[in-house]
Amino acid sequence: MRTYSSLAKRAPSSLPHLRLQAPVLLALSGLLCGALVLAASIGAVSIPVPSLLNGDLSEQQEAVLFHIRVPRVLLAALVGASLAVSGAAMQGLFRNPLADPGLIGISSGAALAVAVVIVLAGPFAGALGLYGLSIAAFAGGLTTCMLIFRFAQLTGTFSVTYMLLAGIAINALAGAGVGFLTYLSNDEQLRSLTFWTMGSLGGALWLGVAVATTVILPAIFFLFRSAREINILLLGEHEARHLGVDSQRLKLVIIICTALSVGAAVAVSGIIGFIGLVVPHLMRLTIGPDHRLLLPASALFGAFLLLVADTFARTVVSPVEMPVGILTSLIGGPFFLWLLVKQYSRRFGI
Amino acid sequence: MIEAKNISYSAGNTKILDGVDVAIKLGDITAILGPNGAGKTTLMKCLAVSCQPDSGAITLEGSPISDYSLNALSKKRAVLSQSNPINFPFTAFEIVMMGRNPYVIGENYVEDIRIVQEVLESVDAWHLKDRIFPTLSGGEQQRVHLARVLAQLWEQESAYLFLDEPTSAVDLKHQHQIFDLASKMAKERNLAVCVIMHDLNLVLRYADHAILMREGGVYASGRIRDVLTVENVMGAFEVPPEFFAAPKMREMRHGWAESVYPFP
Repeated sequence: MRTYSSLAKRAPSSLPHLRLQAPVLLALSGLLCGALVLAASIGAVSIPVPSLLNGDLSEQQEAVLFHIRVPRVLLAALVGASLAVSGAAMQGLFRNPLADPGLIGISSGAALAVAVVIVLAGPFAGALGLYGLSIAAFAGGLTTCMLIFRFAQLTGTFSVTYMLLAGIAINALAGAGVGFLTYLSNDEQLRSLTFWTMGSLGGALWLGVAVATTVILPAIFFLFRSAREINILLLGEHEARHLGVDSQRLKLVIIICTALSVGAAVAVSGIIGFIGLVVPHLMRLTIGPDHRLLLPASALFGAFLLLVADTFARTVVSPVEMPVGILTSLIGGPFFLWLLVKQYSRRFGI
Repeated sequence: MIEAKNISYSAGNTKILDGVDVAIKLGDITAILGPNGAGKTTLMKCLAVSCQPDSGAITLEGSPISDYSLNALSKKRAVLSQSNPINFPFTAFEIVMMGRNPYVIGENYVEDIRIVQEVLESVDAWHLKDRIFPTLSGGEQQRVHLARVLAQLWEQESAYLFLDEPTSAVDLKHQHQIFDLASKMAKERNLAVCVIMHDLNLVLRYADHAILMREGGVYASGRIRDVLTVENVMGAFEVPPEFFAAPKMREMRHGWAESVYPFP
């Protein structure tokens, strides 16, 4: 009658479904390295891969490679990794796979702060340079992230609907703010502003790479370290506390690290949308939702994807170039709609 | 023993708990009963340290509950909440493995795998191990979450298990299986099981103690036979119960056998 006899007699222990770890990360690293080399060789001045690897370059090729190509390629990879990891971490924080730094207004909050600094604090910002813009973008991103988190929990429990609606409102507000600042700006400021709002890696310099490296890599590192706790957080804040995870501290770590890394990404490249949504989702489909693997895999694939998109954007309509933000939105928008349909049909999520 | 002395809790202007005194004893199953909105879940949350009462004191084995660190508590008590939706495609196995979080660092992973297998088998859900959690049925999800909570305390002695309506979506066979397991764990590992439930038949059959609540206060508490009387059930639920002798249950561990069928 009682059926827990299985407690006494052990079934032969079958190993659980353990997911591939090292092979996936190695494959993605290989993919990224290949893309880095290829992207450095493609462009207005062609640098063939063999001579690139041998160091057999003309003076012109060398100048192009070190002053233009390499910083740009590195920046694309860094920004891509930053956006993808931030997206994955934010989806963990909001406990929903529809969160994305661009979609819920964190990128535009950061961009608004950057616009304020460019137009209203022009001469002062010069002193701090790109780091000044990064700090502004960080502050903007942090404020929006906290606002959205508050709004999403207005009803007491976490609501995706409120998160997305608040994101719409904040995107609109930030858009209005940037629009107003555009109206106030002079010619030079206008050019910079357009650059931020479109999202482009066209202005890549070594300084941008330095800023991005020193902010993004530490932020990503702290997120990687929290990966196991982010898994537990998906059970809910109270459940995570019951399991010994300090969810208040963890939430703060996620919010600050994503705001830092999105802020730095926005400061050097403007708003590049949907990387944070598309990449973690594709990775989850292939390797599962465990953040210990998902975060590093998203970093590698995000770097790869933005690198490919940027190379495409700067070569397809050569000699002019298309802002890469337009390209990612072109791919990401339909992807998001597909995700909505899929979530509805599975009856979970919203 | 977890002891609450004169605890009160308000949300906004509504007083949810008002001067409650209760004790949860090791080795016993304590049922928290009462009509909807009586404060059962809030009381459990206070006892399980999910929320802080506005006034009053809660002690765990004599020391104030605030003296314990999150990690120490996580090895001492586990909580199953009423609803736990998950939007990510974790397998049932991975969900249950999360219950081992308090022990992961420096512990043997193989050991954790064995424990996850044991708890999943104990709630008859091992066959669901590779299924994606959000695709499971409500009752299956509840059993997997229960397994996760059990995994947290599986090899602990003298720990506290809090279950908020653990079998609300579970079928009859598995309800009995789960409560059998709970009483076995309570006796063999000296666990305190504190459970909110509505099925008075299950309460009569499995619980040792009961806390009957009404309007934020304790209406009656004590041994199950003393709490579940016609007068108390009538007074708390406003439904006249009838107690029947249930012949086949004569060998039940209380040494007495009754079943209750409340009629409106």
